[in-house]
Amino acid sequence: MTQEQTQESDEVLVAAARSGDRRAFTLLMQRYRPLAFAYASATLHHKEEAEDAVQEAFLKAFQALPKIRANATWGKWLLQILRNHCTDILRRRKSKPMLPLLESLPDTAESPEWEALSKERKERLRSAISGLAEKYQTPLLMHYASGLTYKEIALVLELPESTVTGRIAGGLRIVREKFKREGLL
Amino acid sequence: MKIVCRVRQRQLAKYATLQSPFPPRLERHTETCGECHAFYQDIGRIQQELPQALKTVSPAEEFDNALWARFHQQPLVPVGAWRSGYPVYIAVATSLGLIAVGYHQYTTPRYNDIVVYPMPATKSASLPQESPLKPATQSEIQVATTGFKQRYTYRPIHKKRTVPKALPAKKYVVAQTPKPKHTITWTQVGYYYAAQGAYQEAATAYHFAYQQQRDPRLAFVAGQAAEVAGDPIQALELFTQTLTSKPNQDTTPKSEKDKHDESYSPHRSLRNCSPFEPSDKPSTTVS
Repeated sequence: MTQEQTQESDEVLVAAARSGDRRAFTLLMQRYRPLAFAYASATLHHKEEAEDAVQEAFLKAFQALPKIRANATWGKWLLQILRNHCTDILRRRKSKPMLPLLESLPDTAESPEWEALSKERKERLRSAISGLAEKYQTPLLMHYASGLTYKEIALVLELPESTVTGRIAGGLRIVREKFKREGLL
Repeated sequence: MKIVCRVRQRQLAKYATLQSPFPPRLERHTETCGECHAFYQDIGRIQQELPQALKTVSPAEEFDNALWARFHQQPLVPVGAWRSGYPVYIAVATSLGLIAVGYHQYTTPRYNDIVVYPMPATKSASLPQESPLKPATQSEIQVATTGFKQRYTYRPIHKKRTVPKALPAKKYVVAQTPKPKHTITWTQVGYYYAAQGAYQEAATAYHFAYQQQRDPRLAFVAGQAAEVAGDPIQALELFTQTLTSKPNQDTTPKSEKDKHDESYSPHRSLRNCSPFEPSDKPSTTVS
């Protein structure tokens, strides 16, 4: 988050956005966009669908600005809209399976560390993360793929921070056991 | 694996995730236990590899532009707009519910309209072989509602459900024929005396009957009885009444008693029992 975004609280920005200040809403959007996109991509495993879901959530939240009572809860409201929208997408997707995000990630310029990681080990790590339960997988992806802090993950998932820490640690332990069984460690 | 190591490894995973310094006891265990030390190193290695394996996921550069374009394209309908139609849904649901309740009330007969079926008149009445728990059928209901010829019938278990809609909801009352009143009429008295040979009393009784019913045939019979009894003056007087009297023109319907008296017609009774034979055309001659 930039310094400009952290200066003003959500309450002030939402109040300004309600009065028609587009800059305030842009700041709100920039503040919550990484969280929303991290959650959507970690849940849906599809970049385009995640972008659509985030846009839909922002659109609904923007339209609901005149109706909101407590300005400070706008962020939680936005994330709740996003969670519901992602749940609906997953429910509709049952009959139409999609490719996991871990295989459809866009290839960026590979770093030296990435090159150092063997191809087989990379695939094993992806498959191990894919095999995790959703309650371990989502915070792991949000933390290691999107770079969110535990506090931000707790905010998005509406969980205590200690629970997020425990789930990430649990996911790492499961991955390590799998790696050890496969002789990769 | 020792239980202690399992507990320590859980703690190690959390502290490795948080990247915070270990508590002294956990640090001592990690230094002394090779398995837990290896676990900590493995977790650290996975943590280093994960960000590179998963890469950084970020929205496309045109994400903001696309979002603003959607803001301008779609009309700004408030999220709570659905609430404006909420009362309509409630009204429709309430109406449907009221219609359903009304239909149920209409199709269910009221308690006063339930037909009461007669039960066996005597305890010795034999019931049919079928189970009495069987619900009444249409034919049984018809038998029960038409005539009461059977001495038994089924009592419907589910009265409200088994009563068909076509049946008129009314009560049925057993129509009893009135018992004949055994009162002695003057015609019978006259017949009795004539049969006993007391023709004078018979003539008097028939005369009383004639005075009640104003039937000329009774006057003729009374005259015959008086003639047989040896009283020509009375006989002549009665025969005269036979010729002069007019039949009763009363338009009122005959009572049961009158009908009963007609069944004891003196012509018929005297024809069989009386010593004299009254003819259809009474003779006016008096001997």
